[in-house]
Amino acid sequence: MFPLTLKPEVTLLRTIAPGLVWMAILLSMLLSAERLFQQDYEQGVMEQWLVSGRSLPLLVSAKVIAHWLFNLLPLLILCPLVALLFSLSVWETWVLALTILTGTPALLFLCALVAAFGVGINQRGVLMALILLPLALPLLIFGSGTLTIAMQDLPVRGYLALLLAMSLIAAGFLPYAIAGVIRISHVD
Amino acid sequence: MISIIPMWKLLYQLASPKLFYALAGRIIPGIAVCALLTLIIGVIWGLAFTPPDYQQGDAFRIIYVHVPSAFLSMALYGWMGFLAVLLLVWRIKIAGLLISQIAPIGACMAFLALITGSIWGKPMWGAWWVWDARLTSELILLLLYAAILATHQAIKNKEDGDKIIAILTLVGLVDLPIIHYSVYWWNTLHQGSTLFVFARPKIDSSMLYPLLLTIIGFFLYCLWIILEKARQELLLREKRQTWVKIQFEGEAK
Repeated sequence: MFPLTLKPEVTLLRTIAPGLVWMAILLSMLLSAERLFQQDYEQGVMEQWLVSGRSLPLLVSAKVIAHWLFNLLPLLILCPLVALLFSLSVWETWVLALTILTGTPALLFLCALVAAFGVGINQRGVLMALILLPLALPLLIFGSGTLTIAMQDLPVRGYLALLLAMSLIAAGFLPYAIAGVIRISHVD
Repeated sequence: MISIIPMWKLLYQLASPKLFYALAGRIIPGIAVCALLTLIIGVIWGLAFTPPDYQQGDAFRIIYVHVPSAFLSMALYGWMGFLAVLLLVWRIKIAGLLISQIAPIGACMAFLALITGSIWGKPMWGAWWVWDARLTSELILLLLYAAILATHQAIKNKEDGDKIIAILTLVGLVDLPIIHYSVYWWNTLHQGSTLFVFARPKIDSSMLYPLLLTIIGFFLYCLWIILEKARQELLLREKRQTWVKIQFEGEAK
């Protein structure tokens, strides 16, 4: 859709493609994350997690990683299509797929945190977007930055390593924060 | 070690609502007087007696609002992070109450810093807004404050809300340096900006002293407002406790 609202020039499209793709990923994740814990909450699965005696952070990360695997596949399948639409080369498509692979775990853990904040609150769409956008900014910058420097034929390894590092940090620490939020909102 | 133990004692004593209420009530007048004095002296000194800047003329005087508010917006966030640890690790409820009272003040300071910066930027840079690293990270800070406030508003039980925004504060605290540096790298990657003013000549002492005074004044002012608001909120939350009843029935006699 974006090429229709802008001038369909190849050079212009290539300059803005990284940012557009990553914004699209962020928004799609935000939409899907809104329902991430909702069903568990309504059907009482969350109480079962709490009383099961197992480590809550572990359960949360299992849930989020499963969600990530399901989300990853369509994104990776759509990569060649995006490459076709924005006339990216094969190498750039590879880099795009790699940034998605390394960057989305952190994004999804952040989304899960935000979803945990929103459980049991009405009108949570705006709230979730408000919390998520500032926290997700570094990922967007590095995700789109990787593709941009790949287009300039510069080495991308450092950027990918940084993305991966952020994902690892997020996967290591955020489950505890998510578990804390869930526990607090279920005490009563 | 010797100096640490009394500090812990003091912290634990402050955790008692009654003592906090009494102590805050006792130090508030002093803080208020100091805040007003330093603010008035600093502002008058800065606006009237400091020589104008050789490049920017009189326009630089907005520094006496801009720098203190920017400094306070960050310092208050750091303070909130500290209190969040106190609340989550040592379960000191006063800390949670203070977090919820600091957040609006911090948001005001971040907003003030952005507004004054933008007013300053128009004559100096020729633009209200530049996507510069420091501007962007200050904007993100404002958004974080807004997120914390919105979350606190959305949760009905105040004490649960305190804990949840404490977690959010901590996540944001880890994220802030990352945001700061990522924004920095991102900007230098795309374009070498010509608008960096951070490397300006070292500030002269005639301008520095009023600046320091206004920073102290802003700091004391924030402390004053926060303590005052915290006392009010404490009374509201603890209105069924016996110490509140004793306090007010005692005063009525």
